[in-house]
Amino acid sequence: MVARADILCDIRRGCRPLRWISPHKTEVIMGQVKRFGFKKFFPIYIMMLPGFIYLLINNYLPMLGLSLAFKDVNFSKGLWASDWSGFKNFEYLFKSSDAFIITRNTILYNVTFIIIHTIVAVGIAILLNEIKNKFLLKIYQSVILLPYLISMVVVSYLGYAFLSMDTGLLNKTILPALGIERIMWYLEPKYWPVILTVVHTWKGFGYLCIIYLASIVGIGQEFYEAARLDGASKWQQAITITIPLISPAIITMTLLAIGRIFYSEFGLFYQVPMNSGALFSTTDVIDTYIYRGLMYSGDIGMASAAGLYQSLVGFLLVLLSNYLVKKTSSGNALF
Amino acid sequence: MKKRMSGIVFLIVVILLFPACGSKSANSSGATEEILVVFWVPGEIPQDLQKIQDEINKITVEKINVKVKLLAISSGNYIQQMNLILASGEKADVAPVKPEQFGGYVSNGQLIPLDDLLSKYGQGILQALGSDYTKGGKVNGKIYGVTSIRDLALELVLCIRKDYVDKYNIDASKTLTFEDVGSILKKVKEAEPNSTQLISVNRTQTPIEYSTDFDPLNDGFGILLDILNEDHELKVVNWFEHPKYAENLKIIRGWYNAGYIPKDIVTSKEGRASEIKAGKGICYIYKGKPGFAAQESRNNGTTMITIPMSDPYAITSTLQAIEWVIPHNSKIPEKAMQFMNLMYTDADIVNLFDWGIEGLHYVKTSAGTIDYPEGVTAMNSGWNLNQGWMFGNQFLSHIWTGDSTALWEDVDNFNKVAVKSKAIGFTFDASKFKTEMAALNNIKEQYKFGLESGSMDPEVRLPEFISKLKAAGIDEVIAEKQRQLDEWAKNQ
Repeated sequence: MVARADILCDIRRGCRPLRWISPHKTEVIMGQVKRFGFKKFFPIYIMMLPGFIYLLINNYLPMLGLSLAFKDVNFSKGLWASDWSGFKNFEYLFKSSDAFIITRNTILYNVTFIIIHTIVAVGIAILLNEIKNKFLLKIYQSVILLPYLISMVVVSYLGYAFLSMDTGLLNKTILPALGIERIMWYLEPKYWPVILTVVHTWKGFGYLCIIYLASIVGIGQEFYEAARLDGASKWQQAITITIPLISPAIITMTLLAIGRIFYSEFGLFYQVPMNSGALFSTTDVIDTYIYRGLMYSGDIGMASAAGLYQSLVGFLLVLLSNYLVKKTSSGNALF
Repeated sequence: MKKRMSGIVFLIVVILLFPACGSKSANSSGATEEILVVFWVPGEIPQDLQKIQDEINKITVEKINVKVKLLAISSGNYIQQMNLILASGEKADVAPVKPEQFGGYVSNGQLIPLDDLLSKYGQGILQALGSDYTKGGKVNGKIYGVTSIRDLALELVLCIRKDYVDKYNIDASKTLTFEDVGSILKKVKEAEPNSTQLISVNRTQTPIEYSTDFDPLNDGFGILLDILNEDHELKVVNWFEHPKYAENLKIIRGWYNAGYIPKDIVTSKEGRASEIKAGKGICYIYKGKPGFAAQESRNNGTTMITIPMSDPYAITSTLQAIEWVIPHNSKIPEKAMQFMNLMYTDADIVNLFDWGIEGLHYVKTSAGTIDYPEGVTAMNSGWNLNQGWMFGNQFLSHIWTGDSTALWEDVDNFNKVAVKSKAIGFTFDASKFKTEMAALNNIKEQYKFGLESGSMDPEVRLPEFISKLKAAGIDEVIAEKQRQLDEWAKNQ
């Protein structure tokens, strides 16, 4: 994933964010008119071709399978000849007694994650940008990226080392030292919104941080020098220079995250709570509900219906958010 | 110009790479056709799989002109892999399925009905299994699977380490009740107050699950009670609402509070063998059969004995514990059925599957049993499946040292003596209740293990559980199950 904002820096005019240049349009950029023709970019189109074909086959062609969401899949009749069942496959997502809980949990967690991740990632990126020692910078970057690469199953056991009710670090050492009664972590749902948010942030912020750092690095030093001459503090510099100039990247990443607002990272909500039933009221999300409900029946129609539901909602929200962004600061919209 | 040249070169390179991916191997169809037999193994894929396959092929090519390819899948992944194989239409001709899968595959149309194939090519199977037990694989009047010949009934037992029985003078001669087990645990706990776990419990095997003689009727939502009573009623009840369930939960909660069950049990993912091996727990309540103690001793690495907690009885799920099916993927079901027939009639094939190659994996002993050859142990044997109950007719296989030579007669007797549930052969068709079943399964995952392991307080949680089940529609499911059961019973 590459940040959409390009920074064009010029020794005379300083730095400006660059709008995306379409090869077929002409753009006026800083007084220069450029025309980009098909001929000039022919080799680049050829290079794009394998990836494009892959996208076509892997992402667009399977859309035909969306029809499975409306069928009562029976393999002896074959996938395409199975009977149509209207919206029946969608019912279990709405009608069941738990439908409200899973939808609420999914949305609340994702909104929280988007907000907290952005704040933490941008904050740490700004801090990292201040580090002068190249060697230390590389070390910090590797360290914050490391949790992103760890499998969620391993993370669930790391969590277990902390939260185990008999032998975990918290119950055995830390809580008694503070004089607090030990807590049955895997049986009390109320702590888990915080626990899952902490775990997910710890795991995911590194990736986002690197992306924002790449954006920040492109900002010209002239801005900061000018601000320092005017007497601005580090904090003011961050608020007035850094954040506005990387706002295209922030908006892009946030819009993409909004597109996935009905999806959840399955490992986080299934493995980390160790599949403990007592925690479902705060850890059950749409994806885990589908898994637990369909694990035995293996019903493809119902699973497809869930996928369609999640992606459709995400799509509509992306359209809406993009429209709102266009209205407020039109340069930053995704499309 | 340079850019254009490099672009064209790039394109040519890319096009040349295409044949490298997706080269389909030519299907060599000669006079001898090949079938793919898929099955699961408890741990990793056995080293000598190819050798066993070659030996089996020697027999099948000669007898039925069929080549056999074996595909072994680890038990933990089996259900997911089978789902993928069946959904993708990959080649698969013969496979065993677990009870959770069987009903679903039938209603999805993924299995071939076997009635005609059995009468044409499967006479051996019909004779060995007998009509009573063949009924177990029937759904909506057609046979979709045949169970293997093994212990087809079960008795509830307490399986306990022998050294503890000796140490604490536990009376192993009388039949125990649930409360009796509690007294035994109390005795041990008093003598060893620092023990963290006395009884092994996990998600699929809670003491409650095996404490009462009921027939779960496929999914446990609506059961038949009192199977050991030959005259039991065909009345479907909600087990979770039953007073006996509440009673048992209270007892388990007492065990949890007293420390026989660890506080963390709800996060446990281990099975009974690994728990006993690790010293976590000295006993468990489970379903037993003749030879169970010897089998569990082999698996757990320490001598176990079994103390009965009930008489033997047979229910559809013991029969459907393993069903050999022919997936609709198979293009040559006649050959598949012929091979299945061999598994029930040919002692050589059965022994290859069960024990491996004579001389390499086992040798005959003077006592009429078999044992490891010199230098081979459970750790280094290339074929140590110990899954004799899976492959066809187990009565044809050799007997391992430690079991009596009369083992198969005992099991045969056990099967005959068992009280059979009146609902054997009935499979519930849940296709109209997909929404309810998805919701009910979720609620079951939420409460059942917590309650039955003693982690949740039944006073508070059981009423929650019951009301949530009702809100999700369990009463409608039970009413429909009763209706289907009554209609099925009329046609028997």
